[in-house]
Amino acid sequence: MIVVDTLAALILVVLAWRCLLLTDLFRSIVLFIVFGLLMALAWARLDAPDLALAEAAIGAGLLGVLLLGTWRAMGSPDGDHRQPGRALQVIAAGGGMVLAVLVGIALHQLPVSEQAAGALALERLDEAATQQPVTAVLLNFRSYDTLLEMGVLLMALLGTWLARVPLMESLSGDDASRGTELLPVALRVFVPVMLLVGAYLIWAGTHSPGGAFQGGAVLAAAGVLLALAGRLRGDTGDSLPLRMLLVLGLTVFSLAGLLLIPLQGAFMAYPPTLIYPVMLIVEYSLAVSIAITLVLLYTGSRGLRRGPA
Amino acid sequence: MMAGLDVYALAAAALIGLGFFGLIVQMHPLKRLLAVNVLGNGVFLALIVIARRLPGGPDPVPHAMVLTGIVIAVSATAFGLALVRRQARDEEGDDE
Repeated sequence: MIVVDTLAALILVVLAWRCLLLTDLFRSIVLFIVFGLLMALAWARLDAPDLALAEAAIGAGLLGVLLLGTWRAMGSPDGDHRQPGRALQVIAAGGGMVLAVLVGIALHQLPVSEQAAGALALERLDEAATQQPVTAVLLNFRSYDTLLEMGVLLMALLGTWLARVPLMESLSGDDASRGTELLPVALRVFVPVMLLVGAYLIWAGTHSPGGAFQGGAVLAAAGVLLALAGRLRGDTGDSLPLRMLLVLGLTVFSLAGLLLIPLQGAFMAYPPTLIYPVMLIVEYSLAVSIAITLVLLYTGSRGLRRGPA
Repeated sequence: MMAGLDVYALAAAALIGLGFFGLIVQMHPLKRLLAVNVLGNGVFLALIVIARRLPGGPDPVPHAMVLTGIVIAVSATAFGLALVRRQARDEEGDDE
């Protein structure tokens, strides 16, 4: 399998190289999407199925739609032909090469530590009531990270709202809903399947690869598909229920941590009998918030409304 | 692992170098966002390469970090893209 790995690593680098140095912006973006798909393959080869799932849905899917949407909203520019000064190019090339060599040497000489945090996590997996180490780390051992990450997601959404150039508004309205006859059929077939897969992935996170991030990303992809087909429109009006769903993950996660303090005496420590149900509730609320945040990051709007069917 | 070359470690190093180069050399804001993402993916790859070396299975902590990192990267990129669109619109307004 060394051949597969070598090929994958080589193609990754070549794709990144082409993607960054082509002047044609559209081709760069397409290459970046392919790069994302290949990253997903690399994650799978590196024993990281969780990352492969997330990358395929987010890195290759959502990010590609976002990039292409922005490219079109900017009036399909073919790229920037301004060239930076020769000196700057040389310095950047030299700096990049030195950085790459140093990172390469560091990665090959790094000693293996027996006392890594992950070793402890693997050892005490039973206490997290799940056999899936990544979920245990995300929702239990290092739940602060996940909690704060939800905050970062909301910050990004607030920033997007402040910049206030909704992607869907800059695309003409008819354009979005004008599809081929295949589109309604595709929507009817794909959207329910995507919702099902998303919900399954969130539940699967408790015992096998999957979880709130992967599931939420698949749900968001279903939402973006509906938005692309014009069934879901960005709306300028605020809606309280939607805002409540946006903060649902953060609220439920914090509440679960706070309310159980009397039982365990520490923030975000769960009593062993309650871990499984608490984890499931937290996972689903996180996924709902992640999915809606990602869809709104795509539309750039404050609200959502149904488009013409 | 120490004996041979790890191809993914080499790829991670190359992606970090390429991302850095692209970030400085490219003038178009969309290209710069792509460069930041390539750089980020290089860092993720480096973390997972390290995670794989833990005896007794891949280290779940870097995996969790990269998983949150992927979601943070996409949201930060979405924010960046919103800024790019705003800049493009403002420049359009100046021309008229």
